[in-house]
Amino acid sequence: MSTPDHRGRRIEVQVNVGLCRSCKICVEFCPEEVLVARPPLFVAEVARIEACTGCRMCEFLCPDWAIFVDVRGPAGRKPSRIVTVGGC
Amino acid sequence: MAYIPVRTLWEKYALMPPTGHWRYCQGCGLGTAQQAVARAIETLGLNPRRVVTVQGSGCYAVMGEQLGLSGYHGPHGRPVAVGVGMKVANPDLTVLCLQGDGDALAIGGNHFIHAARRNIDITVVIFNNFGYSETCGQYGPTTPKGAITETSPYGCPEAPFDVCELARGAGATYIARSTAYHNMLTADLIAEAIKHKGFSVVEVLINCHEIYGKRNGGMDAVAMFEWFRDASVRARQAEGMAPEALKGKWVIGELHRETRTEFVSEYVAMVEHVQARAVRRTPAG
Repeated sequence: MSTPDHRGRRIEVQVNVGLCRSCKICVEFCPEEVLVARPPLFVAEVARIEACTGCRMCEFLCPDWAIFVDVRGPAGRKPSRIVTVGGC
Repeated sequence: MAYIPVRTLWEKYALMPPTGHWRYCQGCGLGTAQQAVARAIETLGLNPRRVVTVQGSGCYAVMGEQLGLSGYHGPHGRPVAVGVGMKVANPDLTVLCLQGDGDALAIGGNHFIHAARRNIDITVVIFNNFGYSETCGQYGPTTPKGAITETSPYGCPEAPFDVCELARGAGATYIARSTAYHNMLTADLIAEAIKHKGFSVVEVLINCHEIYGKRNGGMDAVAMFEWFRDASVRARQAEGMAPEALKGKWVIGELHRETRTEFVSEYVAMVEHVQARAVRRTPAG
């Protein structure tokens, strides 16, 4: 989980490695290059969680439903609602 | 549209096959499209037990089962025919015909255009992967001209169908197009199509990189997603563009919407009218 950003949100990206089939779509389309796929299996893994903006591009584009993005607002607030995603 | 997490979709819809992954190829856009279908149903708050999916044959045909919805495998090309029967017999059901391009436009083209002409309240989602990918990639009615396929090694000599123009000509009252890359848009459009009272068609372009992409420029899943991203123009933007600028591009979004008398309500009204007339003619006593 990331440290709180300027809006006080904490973002968590989870990759279910049992479901990931190494298509690398999430890695290529992440606008902030948060995810990487390293050899030999090329399974997606979170490398730079501090750069994540919580756009959920990876979650929407994952064909195997293997990525979960949790954006938690400051205490007492509900999780943020998504309005638009860049290009998606 | 409110955001619905994939975790919720897993809890409510996913019915994973014993293989441990969806029965699509690695990186296939049908997985994202499946997410969009589930998200559309969840957004509308429909009871999954009152949603029926009808599928024919093709790569997409396991989608209804994998979403745990009540489903029916119609004969190849006939999901619309089966769906029409379901809707007429039970107008309360939400009928979602999931079809492929060959299924809807080649084998079942006749059923498709006549259901559109009748304007019956069903939703047809056409997953267009540019050919018959389940059977090794013969060319079909939507294969672009010049594309290399199993049965056209020197390039496809035929001109393809424009699915949305065909549906419009046949009389469909809601027509939209999206791609596997524009997943939230797909979910929005499917939700709108389900809400629409009348025959609604949503074409979703799917990346078949294993069969189509490899032979046409060696595209992998990522390259095909990039192709969809770069070659798509939103309907609102396309209005102000010259036809030459739109050549080779896909116009995505809601393309057509009109209100016309719906078949089932018309039919029910006719039955009631005829029955009332029959009662009047019956002699008293």
